[in-house]
Amino acid sequence: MSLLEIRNLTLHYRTTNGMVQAVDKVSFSLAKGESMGLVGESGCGKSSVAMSIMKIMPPNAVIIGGEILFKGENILLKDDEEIRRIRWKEISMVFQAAMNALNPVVSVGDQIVEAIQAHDRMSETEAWEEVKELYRLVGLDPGRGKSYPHEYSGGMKQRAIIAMSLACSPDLIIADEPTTALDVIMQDQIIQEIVDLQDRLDMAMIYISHDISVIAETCGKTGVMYAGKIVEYADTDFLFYDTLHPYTKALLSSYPSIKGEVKRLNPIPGEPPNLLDPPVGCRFYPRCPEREGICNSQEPEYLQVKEGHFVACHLVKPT
Amino acid sequence: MRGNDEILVDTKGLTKIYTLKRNIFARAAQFVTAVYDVNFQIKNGEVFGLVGESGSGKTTCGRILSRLEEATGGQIFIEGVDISQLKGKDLRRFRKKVQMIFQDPYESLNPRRTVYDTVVEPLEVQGIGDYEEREYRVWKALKIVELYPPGDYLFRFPHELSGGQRQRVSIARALVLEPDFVIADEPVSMLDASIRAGILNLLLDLRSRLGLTYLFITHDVAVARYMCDRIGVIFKGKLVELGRTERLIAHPYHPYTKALLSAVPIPDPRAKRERFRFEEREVPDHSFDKSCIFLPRCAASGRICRRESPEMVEVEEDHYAACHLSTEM
Repeated sequence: MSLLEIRNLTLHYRTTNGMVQAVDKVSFSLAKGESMGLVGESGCGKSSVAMSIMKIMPPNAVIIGGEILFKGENILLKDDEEIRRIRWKEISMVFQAAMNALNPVVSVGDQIVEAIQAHDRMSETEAWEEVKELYRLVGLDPGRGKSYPHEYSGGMKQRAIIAMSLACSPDLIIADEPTTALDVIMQDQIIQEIVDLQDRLDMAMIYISHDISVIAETCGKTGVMYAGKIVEYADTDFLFYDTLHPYTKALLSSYPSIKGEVKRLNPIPGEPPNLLDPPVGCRFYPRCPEREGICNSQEPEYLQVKEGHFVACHLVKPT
Repeated sequence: MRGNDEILVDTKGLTKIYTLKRNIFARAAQFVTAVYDVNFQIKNGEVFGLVGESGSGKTTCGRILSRLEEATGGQIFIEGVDISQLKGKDLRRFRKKVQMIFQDPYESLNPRRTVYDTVVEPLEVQGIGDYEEREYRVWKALKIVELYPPGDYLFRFPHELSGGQRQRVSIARALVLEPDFVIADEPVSMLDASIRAGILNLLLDLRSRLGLTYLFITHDVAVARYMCDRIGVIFKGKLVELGRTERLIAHPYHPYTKALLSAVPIPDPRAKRERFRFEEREVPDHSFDKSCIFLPRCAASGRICRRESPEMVEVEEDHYAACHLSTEM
């Protein structure tokens, strides 16, 4: 059985201008210890999917349909008390700006102790031992637990947040752009840390990023999102070397690299659609270089076209 | 244009030191050295990149070069004329030649002005042309940045434009005066990849079409490689390495450049990277320091690094590094 299985998740946001169709029939599953990247441009719905798994959507979000099965139970049907027991203990999350959410007048260690004691019956001393252990795990000096957030650098704060997210040994960790605010070298160190821990602690991970180069290096599987839908999902290696969806192809050729020859980048013409009123057919139709007549009128199905390789495109036929 | 080795921009000992206000906690005035003794030259028609992390002083360099900020020391020559002391009319004439593109198109455009108002403003300030001439120039600038047909955009407000279109408006505003030299400060860091590629290509095309020279400031080494003929790497306000892009990326000399390059993720799951590590330690403010700026973090430092701050030396043709050990490696 999969650890996490999402089936046809559809989420809209209620706004004064109407319903924004932010997530549309998203399905994927994740086994224990597996890592998956969710990549896409701003507004594609990747963070909305993450928030749904933790059930921390903003108040104007409306779940239209679908289910999120975690260990076989639908998270969306759980009440606040039940969900509170799962959050942090079984599923935890590292946000982009999480380091700014640390309380400035409480020492970082005390904040982690608080998180531990909220879920596990543990004495203050035991919890502090745990904090030291976690600090070692994420490459922080265990003696710095009593320091306050302003005494930490950005990278150290983000490490502390990772330590906190590991505090209750969750089965699933969701990392939503955990390094975007950091400099390149710090980003690289934190990513290595996350990948290493995920592997060592045998956690499942969903890594969300707009940066395909980060995803390429971190995740075993990758889902590409566009305008609220997963358009392609496969082993990361297949996704890069046997790319099937026109959007994924376009995205890959719009990225510069410091390796290999310098090729002219291919921008994708136009802009992502307005999700208040998305296109009737394929949502990528208006920008697609390979579009055909059918794409404009009929929504492509999300199909498995090869072993473990899912694509939603009229032009890609199952083999 | 390219091939013409004439030097357009030349900085000598560029330095910027900020004085923090004295307050009740700090008795003596405190100084922050943002840029320290930076020297580089930009050739006519060249794209010169300044690459560094946040707080490295790359933006300050750009702001000094565009005279938005006064340097504490050093000189800037553009076409052989020292522009660091220009005032009044001369300064206004200088602004016609040197324009800037800013990072955030959501903040750099006035939300209450239409595209036309935004792009025409530099012409009004400079007193160029009559109404018709200005309208023609704005029209032309919008066409150049591929906002086509211009008539569709003239009377739109920023909130009616996407991020990519806004950045195109910023570029049109910079180009409407037909400058020779454009300083682009992280012009694409707020944009999504698919849109970013279009802006980068546009900037490159404009370089060859209009014979522009760029100072391209970025934290993203992959973008710098795509854009720049030569790159200068800046660390804590000091230029530590400078060379032709391909050579610098293939064969860096300075340990900081090595670490920076080895930390760049590669969009290829099969690529393997060797990481060049260094110590993660605070680097104190260095303006009066006598040791190498990179010393607190360097894994290979020798005794001389503690005694002397290294000068930029030519390590191979057209490639400079400020590291005592670079010649030995």
